[in-house]
Amino acid sequence: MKMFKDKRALLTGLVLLLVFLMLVMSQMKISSPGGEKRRKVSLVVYGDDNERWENLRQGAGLVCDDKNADLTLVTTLLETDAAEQKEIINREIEGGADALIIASCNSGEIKAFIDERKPKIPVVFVESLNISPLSMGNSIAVSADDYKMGYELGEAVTANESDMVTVAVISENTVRDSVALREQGFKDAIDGKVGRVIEWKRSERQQNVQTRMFIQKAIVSEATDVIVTFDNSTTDALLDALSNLNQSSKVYSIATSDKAVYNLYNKEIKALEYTNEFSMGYLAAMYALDETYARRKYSDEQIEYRIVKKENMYDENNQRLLFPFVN
Amino acid sequence: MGNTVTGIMSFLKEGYKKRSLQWTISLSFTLISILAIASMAIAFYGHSTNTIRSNTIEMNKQVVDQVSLNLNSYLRNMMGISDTMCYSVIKNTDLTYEKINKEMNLLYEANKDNLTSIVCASEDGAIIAASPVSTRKSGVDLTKEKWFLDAFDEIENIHFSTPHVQNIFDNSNYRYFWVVSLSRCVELTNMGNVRTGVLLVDMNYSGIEQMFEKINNGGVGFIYLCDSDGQIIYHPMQKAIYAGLVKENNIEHAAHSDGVFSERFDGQERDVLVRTVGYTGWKIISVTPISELAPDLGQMRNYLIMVVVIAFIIIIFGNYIISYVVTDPIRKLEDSIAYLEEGVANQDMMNEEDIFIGGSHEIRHLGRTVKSMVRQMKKLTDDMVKEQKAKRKSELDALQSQINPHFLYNTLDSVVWMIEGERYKEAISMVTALAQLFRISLSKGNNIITIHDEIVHAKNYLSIQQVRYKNKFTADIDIDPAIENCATIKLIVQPLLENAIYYGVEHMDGEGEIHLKGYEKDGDIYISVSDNGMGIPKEVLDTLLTDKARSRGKGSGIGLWNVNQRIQIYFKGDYGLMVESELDEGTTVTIHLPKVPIEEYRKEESVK
Repeated sequence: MKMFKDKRALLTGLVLLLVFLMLVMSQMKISSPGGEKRRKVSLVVYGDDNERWENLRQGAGLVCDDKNADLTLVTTLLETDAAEQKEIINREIEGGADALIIASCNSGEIKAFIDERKPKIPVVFVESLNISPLSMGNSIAVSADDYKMGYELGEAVTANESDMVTVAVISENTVRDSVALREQGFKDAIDGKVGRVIEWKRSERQQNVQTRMFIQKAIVSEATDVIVTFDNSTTDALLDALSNLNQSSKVYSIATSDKAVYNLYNKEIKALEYTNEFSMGYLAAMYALDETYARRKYSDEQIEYRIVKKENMYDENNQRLLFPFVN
Repeated sequence: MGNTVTGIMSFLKEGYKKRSLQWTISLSFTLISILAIASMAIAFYGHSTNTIRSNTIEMNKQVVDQVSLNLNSYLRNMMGISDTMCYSVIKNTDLTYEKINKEMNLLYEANKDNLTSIVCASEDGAIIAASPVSTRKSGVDLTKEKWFLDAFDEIENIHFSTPHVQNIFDNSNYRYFWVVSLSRCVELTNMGNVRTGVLLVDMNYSGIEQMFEKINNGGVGFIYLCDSDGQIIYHPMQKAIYAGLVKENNIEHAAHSDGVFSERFDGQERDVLVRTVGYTGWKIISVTPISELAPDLGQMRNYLIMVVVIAFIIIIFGNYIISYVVTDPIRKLEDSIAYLEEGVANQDMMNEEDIFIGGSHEIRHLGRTVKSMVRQMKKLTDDMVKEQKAKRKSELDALQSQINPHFLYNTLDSVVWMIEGERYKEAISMVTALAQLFRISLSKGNNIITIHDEIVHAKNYLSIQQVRYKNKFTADIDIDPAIENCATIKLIVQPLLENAIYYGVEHMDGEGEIHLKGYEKDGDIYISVSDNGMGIPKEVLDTLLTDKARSRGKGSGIGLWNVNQRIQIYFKGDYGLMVESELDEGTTVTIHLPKVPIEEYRKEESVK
């Protein structure tokens, strides 16, 4: 008994240690994979066309499945309604989203809103933001090199067309960095290498006119050899306008819509620059959900893009890019 | 480095040797237990890992078998369509007179869930019949299509393509179809002339995709499908692989024969199971990354670590208690023996009751043996001490009892001289004193007598010596009557008187004086003999009662030393002699005794 009295501290220490270990063991059981909480990732995009974002959603969804997360795609009614998108972002943050992937309808405004709101969750911007990814705090931008894309499209025009052609550049949706950069790259590439460059830009009184109508008007009012678009909705609107006017033109586009791909085969589009949005979605989700991955330095070279023509659209690599598997 | 290790090892070795028995037992048992448990845990973990892996492989084998069965059945169905078209329709039809569209449509309608289209084309690429009926895309040259060219490679075979987008027919809804083409060379009859053509059956890729997706939705790892060249037909990460975001070892897998193997690919350890699908040569490949087993393995490993840690703690504590229980009695016995060793120097501390007896019966037996040994040792020591004491006492007593022959001779000579001088009365008185002197000296063999008797003895001695020395000195005796009945050792005053006469007053020119005084002070008895002789030099005085006095053998010292020793042997404590002397002044020797009435002393003696 004397020994027990002498070693009371030791005994107490051992009992406490045992209790602690038991607690750790029970905690281990609770934190086992079965009991792990599923995270929520919100993919906030612009426009109400779910199918337009299918590739992006599939890429992000693959990662979410793998990382035990649920992906929610949230669209806006209008492509250009920044107020609605901000409201959606707010709602998703308050609704307990663990990460946000945002395709901004207005890059500057949404970025400023995120900077101001300072959400404590990872925010990944898809499509370009005209700022360095390093200066974004816990946010990151995942995009192809949009300027280079525009520049290469310009090179395709100068390579395929004579130096006398008139090129009409439809300047729509430039509030999105990706579009602005593509347009800038394109203009730089053709500068001085074509006959004439016309910029079709809405005037103040045309702000509420449908895109298709605006383009139709432009086509009718001014003869061109080549028309260039830099985003999906403008491209689709141009194709509709041409169809409505029963006109044909050499269209060079940067787009990923089904209509654009269809019209590539039917020769309305002479060259289509197509971005791998699946990779964009995949990488965005990886940055949002995998902290180790997010610490890596992002390179825009990870997002593939190709200039495809009718002649090579069914090449093995091109068809994989242009025709994603849709279940 | 080697020297450092050797140094550490020898330090541990030395430390191990120096440690206590409890520490040694505890450490040894703990190390052995830890070693055993750790080995068992590692073996168990290894065994469990292998079991989980082999179970998973076994489960995947069953799944792959099932998929293989389903896929075979699916492909055979498609081949059946192709065979029916080839042998039952095309071969029996002269295309100049009959159409094959009706039969083709029937077949298509019956299998349209799995088919995208059936096309029969001539060798120059013209479409002879197709189902469902649709607008052919302008500018498509069938003869340049891979499936078309493959059909002419081995004309007797059916050829399966990898998935591709069907691009023969126009679809204004912007729809496109991923298909797997099944093509073969057929004989087309026109007006009895036979020429070659190609029959194409485009299987809906989604049929294969869904088949594999269902399988991949549950379980561990994934299953994919590739052709014999390793071209991926289905993979759950197909698009990510196409985009270069994910890698797959498909080329190497396709080259592998059927069976199971492990590989390390893209930093992952994986178990791979390959199964070839009959006619097509396609490979169904099941891949199980070990990391996906990790939740189970990791959980088991963590539990195992926890269990081992808890077991370690229990073992350490248990070993401590066991070693304590085993070694504590030995330690206590060791302590009591150490105490005993100290006690040997001091007889009073040597107590057999201090020997610890406890613990296991071996230790108790050892304790009892030590106890018995101590008892015997103590008895032997006591006996020896008693013997020594008795021997010494008797030696001193005998020495004291000896009558100086000179004193006897001189006394008798004095008696003779008195008788010759007809001083009969004096002679009688002297003889009487001598007789009484002897009587008290003997005291019936008792060494302890009353102070009264001792003083009487002293008076007789003085009276004899006064006669002999012709009253050269005077003596007065002053004894407190209260102490006369107390006990004293016999013959202790006479040596003091003898010394006072021989060395104090004998050689004095004037008259010597001897004072004998007895009194009680502070409960003790003091008897002093004082003379006014020449005194004792200081150097002699300092050594008078020590062993040096004894070594001188003769002289005044020996008598005093003897008396002092006797008092101390009999009464112990602080009793004995005190000597005070001043040169030319005189000497006082005081006997210090306990005050014990003679009856009380005798009573105690009789009890002993």
